Amino acid sequence: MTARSDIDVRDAAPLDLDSAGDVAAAARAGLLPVGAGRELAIRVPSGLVPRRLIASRSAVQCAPRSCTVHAPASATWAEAEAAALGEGLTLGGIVDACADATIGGTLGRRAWLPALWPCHTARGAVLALEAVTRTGRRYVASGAPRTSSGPDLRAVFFGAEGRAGAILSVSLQAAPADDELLWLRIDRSKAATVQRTLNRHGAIAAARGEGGDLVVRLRTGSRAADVAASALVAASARETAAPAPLRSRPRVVVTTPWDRLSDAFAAASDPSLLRILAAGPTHVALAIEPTTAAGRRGATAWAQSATTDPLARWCAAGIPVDAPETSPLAEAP
Amino acid sequence: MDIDSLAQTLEAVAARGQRAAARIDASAGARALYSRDCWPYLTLQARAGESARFPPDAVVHATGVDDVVEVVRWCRARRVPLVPVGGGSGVAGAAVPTSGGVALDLKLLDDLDTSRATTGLAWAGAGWIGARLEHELNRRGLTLGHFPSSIGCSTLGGYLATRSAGQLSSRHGKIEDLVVGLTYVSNEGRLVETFGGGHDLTALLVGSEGTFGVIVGAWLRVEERPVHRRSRGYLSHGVAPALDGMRELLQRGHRPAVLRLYDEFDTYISGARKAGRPASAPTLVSRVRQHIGGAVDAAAARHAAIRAANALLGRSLGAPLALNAGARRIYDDCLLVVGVEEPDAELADAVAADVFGAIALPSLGPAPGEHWYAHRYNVSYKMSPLLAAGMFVDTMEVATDWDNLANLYAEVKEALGRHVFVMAHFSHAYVTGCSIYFTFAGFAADDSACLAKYRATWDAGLQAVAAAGAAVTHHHGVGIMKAGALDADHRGGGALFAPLKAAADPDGIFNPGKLWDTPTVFP
Ligand SMILES: Cc1cc2nc3c(=O)[nH]c(=O)nc-3n(C[C@H](O)[C@H](O)[C@H](O)COP(=O)(O)OP(=O)(O)OC[C@H]3O[C@@H](n4cnc5c(N)ncnc54)[C@H](O)[C@@H]3O)c2cc1C
Ligand SMILES: Cc1cc2nc3c(=O)[nH]c(=O)nc-3n(C[C@H](O)[C@H](O)[C@H](O)COP(=O)(O)OP(=O)(O)OC[C@H]3O[C@@H](n4cnc5c(N)ncnc54)[C@H](O)[C@@H]3O)c2cc1C
Repeated sequence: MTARSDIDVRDAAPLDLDSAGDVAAAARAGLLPVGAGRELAIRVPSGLVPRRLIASRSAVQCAPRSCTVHAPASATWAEAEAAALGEGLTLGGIVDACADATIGGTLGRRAWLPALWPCHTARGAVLALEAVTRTGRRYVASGAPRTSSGPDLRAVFFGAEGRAGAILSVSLQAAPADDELLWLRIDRSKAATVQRTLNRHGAIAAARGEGGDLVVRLRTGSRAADVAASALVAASARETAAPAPLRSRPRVVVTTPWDRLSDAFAAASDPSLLRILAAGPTHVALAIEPTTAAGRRGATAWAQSATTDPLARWCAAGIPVDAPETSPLAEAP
Repeated sequence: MDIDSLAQTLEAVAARGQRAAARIDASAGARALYSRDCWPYLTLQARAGESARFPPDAVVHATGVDDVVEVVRWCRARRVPLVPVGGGSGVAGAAVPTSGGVALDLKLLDDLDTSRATTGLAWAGAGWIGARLEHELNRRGLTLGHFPSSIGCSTLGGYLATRSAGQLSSRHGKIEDLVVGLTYVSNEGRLVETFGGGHDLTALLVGSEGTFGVIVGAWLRVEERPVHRRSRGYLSHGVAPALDGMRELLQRGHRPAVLRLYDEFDTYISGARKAGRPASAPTLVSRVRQHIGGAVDAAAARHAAIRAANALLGRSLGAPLALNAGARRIYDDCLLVVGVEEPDAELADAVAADVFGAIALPSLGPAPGEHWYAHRYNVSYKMSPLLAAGMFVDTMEVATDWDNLANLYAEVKEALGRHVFVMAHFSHAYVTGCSIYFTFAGFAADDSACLAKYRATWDAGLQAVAAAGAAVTHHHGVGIMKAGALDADHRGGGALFAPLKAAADPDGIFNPGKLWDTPTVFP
């Protein structure tokens, strides 16, 4: 696939998601959906027309009883969070990472991250999804909260970099916003303790990083949380502030199983550039944010050595857009 | 089908690996056995004396991944249909070889690698029977946390291919939450790993019911085995107060292992069974009444009414409207069972204090939970006597968000209740919604009338679920039975599935005629 790099996708003409006829026509004409255009590495494959998605009428709506937020794909995470907070809900850590990005842009990107609370990934937070295929047909996945009706066809649109069509709207799982949170910082040599805490207290605990350390987030106010906090404090965790969001788009992100975390740090020429981005039950996501060209080359080399374990993977910014997938299923629609 | 050529292929594989060849069985018995799964409709046809409609041409018992690769290549070269088969416990006809060909039995793929278990990861072959796998993990101090009622007769590959749910899913999640990545044999006979990369291929293979390839194993999330249990039963007047309690519990962040609410009649049936007494003794109801100290003087009258209802049930499944209405008037107590399981006692006590302390319903103590644990796999196997007695029994598991749950329950109960006797429990609950598991029993004058009634019941039920905007199947998969309702969960899904299927399986060998390719009428 040839690519045109002369277009700044952020200047693309708007396309109104609330106009079904325009959306279908644009899809048939070869639509490349553009959200906030924050993903600067975007390249426009020939034959595709970038269009910036907007929603003239539909707005973010919340169903507090079902802990659900329904949003047009053109809404930013910050807009969705503001509406959620108004109803006593929150979308959680995803908002820290992607506040100005659109929901559609985050889901459409090939990059993905495990383990941001409360649903581990932005993809994991999606319940229902409405999309238009590249032949202009509507697809609606409505089997919420769970279904077993065949394969999860939402995956066709997730990570497709807009090539499978456009996500039009989604319902997202939220959490009550009234939680009392406690942040505990702990040396990464105690990773096994942190992983065990996450697995035993999945719903009340989540972890991210600050520098090379791990930062565990606990929902307090329960006896189970007290047990989790005591276990961490016994392993020398100390109270800290919430970790700051990333300053810049990370060059590469890999996920690695917990037991290879120290190997990944050992493989970095400058471990101080490495940051633990998020942590889930089995894997940790690590990002590297080098500022120099040499650093960027180093980051790529690091990612290659950090992913020699079959269960570790490049999962985000470092994946070249046109890299071949391992299965014909990936590019089918 | 040229069975000799297939045998030669498998012998060559075996010779390379210096082991015995995979067994091929083309006997009439084997072909009849693999012609159906546990879909009650096919059982009713068999009861009616019909011979097997969809026998495969041969059954191959793969002994290793290399057998799977070669069988796929052999089938592809000859355009022979190939249906992956696990335990054959599916209840919707997914593993039925409607186009003949090879039924590829995978139960011998039972390798296990727990060397990464300290980091929460284990590799398991697709053929593991759930109970054996759990036993092996338990011996190593681990659990998968996946406990379907069919755990003794279903496989890991089947769980993955149908997006199965275990009884403790509120704590551990469904199988799609437990799989980190899997390996499948693609149409060209290549081993493909689905983890990593941008596209989530795992999500496309999970739930694919054998239509995209043959799953040979998966990396699974395993946990420390929880050996400390605490449980409580609670009494709810009608289902609404208990459903509110379940929702609030989950939305506050608690994840109890067991969370099951039985509606009025399911409470009566399962409560009587749990206490091990004759079904006519309403032990739970009387225990409950003693516990709350109310309406005890009315108990004798209630007992008489319940005995009458039992007699009625035996005779009058043929008149479901009257029976359902009668049951509604007689019973009003619902049982909620809540259980926590943790790896250490201190944590179990802390979680139990949090969870039990958050439920504002009259407690029945630990007995209902202990009973449930002791009999948790029994009930599904009690359908055979009813089938033998000329009735039919089936279950329908649907799901929706909390806002729509009461509506879904009422609409489906009403729709099914016109055809069959129906009861329900709520057993897989999430932050955003919950599933409902309807059990129904019907009766008709003869076998062909039974089959017609069975079809009418399912049509009415699935239409009601779709009209209510809910998920038409929470964990039993699609099979042949629910294929016509697929669009309720995936409007426009056929147009997405077709190019995926064409890319993954251009020769159409993998479980043909399933999912969106299923003929719209029951066989
Ligand atoms: C400082 C910083 C920190 C970051 N941290 C994180 C992080 O922690 N986690 C993380 O996941 N990402 C992170 N990112 C990356 C960020 O998530 C992406 O930049 C963002 O997702 C892009 O959103 P956008 O609206 O700008 O999408 P765009 O750049 O407009 O589009 C991105 C891709 O998605 C496609 N697309 C856009 N809209 C749709 C749609 N409606 N349907 C289908 N496809 C669509 C586009 O065609 C394009 O291929 C970070 C970025 C920065 C700058
Ligand atoms: C008594 C009873 C109780 C039940 N309780 C539950 C329950 O609690 N929860 C639940 O989820 N289900 C339950 N079920 C349904 C059934 O057990 C599940 O659908 C189970 O996942 C099927 O597994 P299996 O190995 O028997 O698959 P099969 O019935 O053999 O096959 C099912 C489908 O999966 C495909 N398949 C099987 N193995 C593979 C593979 N390796 N690669 C690719 N495709 C494959 C088949 O082609 C078929 O399409 C119950 C069934 C019974 C009879």
